[in-house]
Amino acid sequence: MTIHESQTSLRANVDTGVPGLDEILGGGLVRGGVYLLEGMAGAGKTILSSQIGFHRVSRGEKVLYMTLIAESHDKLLAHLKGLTFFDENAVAQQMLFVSGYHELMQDGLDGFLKLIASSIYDYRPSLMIIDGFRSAREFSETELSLSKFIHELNALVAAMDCTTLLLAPLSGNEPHPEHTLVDGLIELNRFSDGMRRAREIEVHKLRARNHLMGKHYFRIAESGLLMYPRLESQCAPSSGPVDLKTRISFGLPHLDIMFGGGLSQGSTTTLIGPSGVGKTMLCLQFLAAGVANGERCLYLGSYEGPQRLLGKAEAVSIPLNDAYQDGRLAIQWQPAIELAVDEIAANALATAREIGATRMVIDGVEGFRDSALRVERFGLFLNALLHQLREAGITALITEEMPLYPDHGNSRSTRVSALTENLVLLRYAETEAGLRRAISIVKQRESAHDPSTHELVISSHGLDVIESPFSAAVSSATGLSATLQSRRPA
Amino acid sequence: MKTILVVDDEFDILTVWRLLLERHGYTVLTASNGAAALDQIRKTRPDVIVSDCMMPVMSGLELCAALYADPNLRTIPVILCSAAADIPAQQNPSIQYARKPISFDALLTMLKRVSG
Repeated sequence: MTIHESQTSLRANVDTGVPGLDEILGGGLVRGGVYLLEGMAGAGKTILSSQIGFHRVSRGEKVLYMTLIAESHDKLLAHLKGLTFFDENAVAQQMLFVSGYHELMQDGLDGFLKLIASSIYDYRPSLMIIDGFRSAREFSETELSLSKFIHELNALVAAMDCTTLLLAPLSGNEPHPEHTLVDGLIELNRFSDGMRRAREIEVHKLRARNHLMGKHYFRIAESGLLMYPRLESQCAPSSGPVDLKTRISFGLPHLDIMFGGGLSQGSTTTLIGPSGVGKTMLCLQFLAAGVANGERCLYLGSYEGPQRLLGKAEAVSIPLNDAYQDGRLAIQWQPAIELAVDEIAANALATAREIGATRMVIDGVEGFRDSALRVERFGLFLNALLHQLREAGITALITEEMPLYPDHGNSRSTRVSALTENLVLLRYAETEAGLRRAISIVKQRESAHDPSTHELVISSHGLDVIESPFSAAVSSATGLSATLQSRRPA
Repeated sequence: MKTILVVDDEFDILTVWRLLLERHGYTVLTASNGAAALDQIRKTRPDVIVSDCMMPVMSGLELCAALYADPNLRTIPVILCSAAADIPAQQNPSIQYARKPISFDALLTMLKRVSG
């Protein structure tokens, strides 16, 4: 006798509407599941659950917000009013606020369960939020009675197809009933990094979902919580063949020849060199060549704002202003002060997708590194970002500053060069006539290249890479300068 | 209002169906296995039996067989619930089958169908 599956056993997905959260959850919550949303006071539990609640309301569903010993409803609503997701018209209509405190106090957990059952039966919410769930523990006589209550709550909301969020000031993943008997355990937390404080979310467990492991940055904005899945946790192996034949031009014929016709499409290149040597200029030239070729480009930097950058380009006859004005070039700039690199990367990837960027510049990677939270993960983070750019077929330049006088005992280098396919070294060459700029391709993984040192010329007429006119030069400091020498004997 | 006997070895299922069905207006009796259900049925004849399949002491299948073997109890409508996709067909042709987990709305629909 075959018994066919009921609709209930085919649990539907419940999207939360919280930017980034569904990605972290592996799609969303499972309809009819019970989830513990834990975190200490001020972690953002109430805002997150309300945000999910009002999102479900916007989908035409009903939500039941049940409070135990928590904020009063008036206070709760007053606090939520400042957030853009709050819908005043939905309150008491699609979003019902009730207190379960009296039933819990008078009749214990059994009375509270009965109230929940009758409320769900009468109101038919698709989502229930129980705020102040710690009180349930305080009113349970034993761990066993709390376990029994959570078991029954699980069965009740599953039968009623009512996804349930329990809010409690707990942390971690301990062998308590609240942690072991729920379908998902989501923790909101804050951490200190020097004098900074930042917020993180971690999903400790989530049944029936392939969620992202580890911690992810989030912040609370006027629109509610904005979450940024850690890039390192979402890297997938490359899909499909890699195109190594298509070449991307710098618009500088000599440099393109040195690269064997240009950079490989989708490759990443580090431009490393001391301050003022021309890294940013070369990047702007690269972007201008893209724009001239009908491509869309993205510049991501933390030092120079758009106007300074465009002015700098115009000063050396690199025309980018029109492209910036009409959107062919997007400039994403944020001063290198207390940056949330996950948010910056997510926004950059979103912008790149939106405009269809094929070229991107990350200018001054050390600025991002020095102002990032949890700086110890920056190398992995950058690796993941570069991987995503490659996957998107975006050809990228990353600039990294090399100290004028290297201090080997105090290196903060991210070693970007190890993460990229290509490495271009820019140095100063001290000649009898003064300082010149030298450029060499140190590595190009995917094809042959010309390893000789050339001169990078920057003038008001533009940039050029020329064969070295010098037969010899004077070296002034290790790692700082180069000896420019012609490939052909003088 | 009609009386429903819910038979299940899982305490949470008994609690939930009791709370919800009572709220709907049914009188609800519960038993944790087939043998306890038979005792209950002989004391208070229910209008409908909602039984799980896999239970200790006496299974839902054995309960159905015992009910069918008793001419006085044979006509009580039975909804047999199981998490298994395939269970042995029962002699009683009027038994209704439901795959667990079952939603409250689906159970209500079946109850209305079997009890009129």
